[in-house]
Parts: sequence; C-alpha cells; structure tokens
Amino acid sequence: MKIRHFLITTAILLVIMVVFGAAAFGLNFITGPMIEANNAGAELAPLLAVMPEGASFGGDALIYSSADPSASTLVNVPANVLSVYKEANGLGFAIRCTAESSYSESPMEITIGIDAEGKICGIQLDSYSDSVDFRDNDANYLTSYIGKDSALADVGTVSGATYSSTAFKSAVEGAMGVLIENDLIAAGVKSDAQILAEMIPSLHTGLTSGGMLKAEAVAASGNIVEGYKALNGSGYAFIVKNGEASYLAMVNASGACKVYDTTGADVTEANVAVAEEALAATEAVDFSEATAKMISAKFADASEITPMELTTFGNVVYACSFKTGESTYYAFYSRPLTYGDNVMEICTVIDENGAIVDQNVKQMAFGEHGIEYMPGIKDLMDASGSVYGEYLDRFNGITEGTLSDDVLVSGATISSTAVKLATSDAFAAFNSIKGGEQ
Amino acid sequence: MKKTKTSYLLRGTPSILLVLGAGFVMASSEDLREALGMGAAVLISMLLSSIVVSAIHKIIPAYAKIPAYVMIITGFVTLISMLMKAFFPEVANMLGVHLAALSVSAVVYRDCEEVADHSGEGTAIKTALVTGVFFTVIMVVCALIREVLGNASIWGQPIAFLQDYKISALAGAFGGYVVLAIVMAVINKITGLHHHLDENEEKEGN
Repeated sequence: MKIRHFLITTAILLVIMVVFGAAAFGLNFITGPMIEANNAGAELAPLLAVMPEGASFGGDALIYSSADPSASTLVNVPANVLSVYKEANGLGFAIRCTAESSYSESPMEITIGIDAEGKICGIQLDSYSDSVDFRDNDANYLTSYIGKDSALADVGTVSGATYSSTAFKSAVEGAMGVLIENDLIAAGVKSDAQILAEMIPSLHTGLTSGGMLKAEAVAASGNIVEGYKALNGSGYAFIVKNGEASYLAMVNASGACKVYDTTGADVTEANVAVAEEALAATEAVDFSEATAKMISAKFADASEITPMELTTFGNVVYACSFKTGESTYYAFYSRPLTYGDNVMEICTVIDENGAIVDQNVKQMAFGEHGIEYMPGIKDLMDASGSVYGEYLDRFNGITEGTLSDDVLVSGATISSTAVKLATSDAFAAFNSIKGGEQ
Repeated sequence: MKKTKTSYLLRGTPSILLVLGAGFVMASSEDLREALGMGAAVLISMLLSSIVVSAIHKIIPAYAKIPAYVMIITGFVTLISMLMKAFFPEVANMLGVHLAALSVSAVVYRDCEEVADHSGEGTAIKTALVTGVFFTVIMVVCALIREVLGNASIWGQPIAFLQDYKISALAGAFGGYVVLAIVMAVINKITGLHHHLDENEEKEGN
C-alpha cells in the first residue's frame, strides 16, 4: 500500500472515530446515569423483593461479600453465602447464598430476607436448575419459610424433590446461622419434637436415603404426636409424649424397639410404656419368602433356614441362618432406597468368619419401573434382572474391615452407595447376631 | 444480472439473509423479547449505516471503504447499544455480547457495501428497511417456535399447559440451528417467488 493511501485511510478513520466518539460522549450524558441506575437496581432488586416495603439498602448496606471476606467483620461465614446486606432503617438483613444438591446442574441462587426479630420475611429462588423443581411438587414450599425463625419449625422437605429441597433448607439454615453466630439476630428455639425428629437419620438408616428422612407419615394417636413409616419396610419412628417429656421410639423390621430422649440417650428400660405404645402402632411385614428366594438363586441346596431377630436399625429387614453341606451361613435381606426412592432388594450372605460369600442384588436401578437402567449398572445386569457380573464379584471375601469405596460405581453413585450402605448394615446385623450368640 | 432498484430490494430476501445471519438468529432467538431487540438493533444500525454510507461513498476512496464502513457500523452499533442499555436494560442483558458483535455482522456490512455504496439514499433506505424487517420477522418466527416449544413460555411468561411437553433442546444452540434449518427450508420453498422475481428482473434487463 502506498504511503499516501495509508495516510488517507488513517485520516478518514480518524474523522469517523472523532464523529462517533463525540456522539457517544454526548449520548453518555443521557444514558450514563440511566445505565448506572439500572445496574444498581438490578443488583438490589432481589434484596428489595424479600424485604418489607420501604426497605432500602444504602452505601454501607453490604456487610459481607464473598468476593472480599477480609473486608467484613463477620466471622464463620460458610462458603455458600455470597453476600450479607443490612437494611438501612433497621428492618433486618438480606442474604444471598447458593445451594447445591446432587441433582443440580448449577447451584441454586437464593435470596433470603430476615427481619430484625430473626424471622424470615421473604425468600426467593433467583436461579434454579435442579432436575425436579420442588416448587412444582409443592407450590407452597417457599412460603412455608415465611415467619419462621432459625429453628424452622414445621418446615420439612418436598417429597419427590427431597435432595433439592434439603439442600435448599440447609442453605437457609446456614445463612441464618451467620447472623446468629455474629450476634445480629437471636437463635430460634427448637421444640423437643423437632430435636427428636432430626435425630432419626443418624439412629435408623433404614428410614433415610442419602442422610435424609425418607418415610411416610403415620397418623398421630394416643401419646404418639408424630410417626414415620419407612418406605422400604425397615421399621418406624415415633415421637411419643410421656408426661411433659417427649421421646423418640424406633422400631425395626423384627419388632425390636429403642427409646431415646432429647439428648440422644437410650432410655428404653425406663420407658417401657412408650416402647409398647410404639410397637402397638406398627404392622409386621414378612420378608422370609423373599429372602429364601434370593438365597436359593445361588444356594440351591440351602437347608435349615432359621430366622434370626434383628437388633440393629438399618436397611436390613430380615436375617436368617442356613446350611449348605456342613457350612453355616447368615443371610441378610436389605431394602435400601435408590434413585427416585425406588427400593432395591439385596441379599448378603456372610460366612461364620464374617466374610461375604455371596451378594445378590435385584431391581437395581429400576428394572421394574420401566425407567432406563443407570449408566455403569446396565452392563452388569443379566437377563433375569439379577446382577451376577463383575460388580457383585467385588463383594466376595469382603469383611466389615475391608468394605471400602471400591464397591462404588462411577455413573451409578446413588445405587452403588445404597448397595454399600446395605452391606454395611448387613455387617452390623451380623455382628449383633454373633455378639448375641456368644 | 443487471442491478436495478428491485434487485437491490431483493437483497433482503430471507433465503440469503438467513445464511449470513445464522449466528445471530441462533444466538438471539431463544426468547421473543431478545429476538425483537436484536431485530430492532439490526434494522436501525443497517438503516443509519446505509444512509451515511450512501451519502459519503463518493468521497471515500475504494481502498479505504472496508475499514471506513466497518468503523461507521461499529459507531452506530455502539450508540444503539448505549441506548438499549439505558432504555431496555433487560433486553440488552439478554443479548449480551451478541449486541456488540453486531458491529461485524455480515448482514449489515453487506447492505452497506453492496447497496448503499452503489446507490442513492432513497434506495439505500428502502433496502435497509426491507432487509431489516425481513431479518426481524425471521428472528421473531424462530423465537416463537423456540420459546413456545423449547421453554414453554411466551414473552417470558410460562405457559402452564405446555410445561410437561417442552422440548428443552430447542432452547439451546443445537435447537437454534434446527429451527433455523426448518425455517430456511420453508422459506426456500416459498421463495420460488424470489427466483421468479429474479428471472423477471433479468428479462426486463435484457
């Protein structure tokens, strides 16, 4: 290109640039403030939406930002809390946080308004990408938080979206915990029934899946104020009043009952009446036939099948011993919940030395429900719907001490975790039975 | 083919436009508001650029035309972007970077380079209007299909009875191209009209 062409082109471009630059400069006097106001409004819109009318968030409203935690005086702020705002007129606080479940494509974004008395005055989901929308299953779920203090009394989870709603609830608890931890609001007081209900997942794994309570409600009667029946037939949990005190009565599939007080102490012996009332409210389910069927799938010559009482509280719903030839084995029939709250049937056969000699899993990953088999598990299924492949061979010879995450299957984490939990419960039941025999 | 006013107007026919603007149609037709916003931005930037280019094309040397026209389009897109952010912030947010990318849009540049550079303001304005309106209509049609069937909503409002039947893939990039391909096929079928017009033009020219 000639120098002349270059200079002319440059000059033309400069002229165009100056003309448009001047136009943009002039236009910015009009649009600049509007754009600034729009941006500020967009940032504050979710906060104002969860606070009472008249709320305002001035310059010093932001008292915590995850972008610069060191600039804040707030301590012990969980990583999922993005920002904390203090309302200018003392109306309360607004917190933006995230929550994530195993079904989240991306984290949920939540804005919570908390009034000066520590009660939730507004709550909204700013973004939500979980596979099941808990608002579809329970349209009133978000409003059930309104007016609640940090105890979140009567706020449960949503059936059919348990993981998502539990993650949401935990995020709300964590966000309120920040204000309590930093003495900005007072903590709510949990009722005895609430405390006892929260103990269920740790005391009876059969009523849970993924650490969450999975049970259908049982109607209150007599001294029973709340009742839960396991979805998999592994037992019941009851909140029972006895005078002024409340107790948690747990019943397993064999009809064994334990009673706990609000401190988590086993007080069964001192509360026999509570245990009897709880037992009277249960219905026995016979799993002997199902267990015998699963045993015979591998041990065709099994004989002397003898039922054994379970004293543990887990996914094992039936236990028995049997003989093949000279050997005695123990079979533990478990029914853990898997993806979508479907029940798996697992039969774990353990020898006298506490090592697994056979593991059989039926209905793994929804064979009976017409839903696609989960990746990773599908290849392990045989035509009969039972799994006898490489996956189950991993369990052979495993003892309680050697059970590890090696039995988990990538891509079928929920199902294989349930199998591992059932195996662990089988070992616990085995130890309990062997302990009782000695 | 001899270039006449009619043939200039036909530059805006969708069958040609769709190929040039495929990226914009795909990226900005997920939502009806977004599509209308992008359609308006294309129409206005094309109209203003064409007017300026047709007015000054005689004083711009041939070797400086490409950078000068790109600079003019960029200038107008910048001004439009500022106005949209001020007056239609929600739409501007939805369009995001695609609004700025309009500066290098082949649809707008082609209009300036092929029409405004060779004709007077009158033809340039008519061509820009025809092209812009066609482009907007195509965007709206694609957006209607994608938003209603892909998101089960219209104008951002959920359509309750469609919630269980939505085809989410249509809302994504893949769906964007699928819808575009379908619309393009329909338009190509219909624009037997376009080819007939071209042939008539040719006869008239002869």
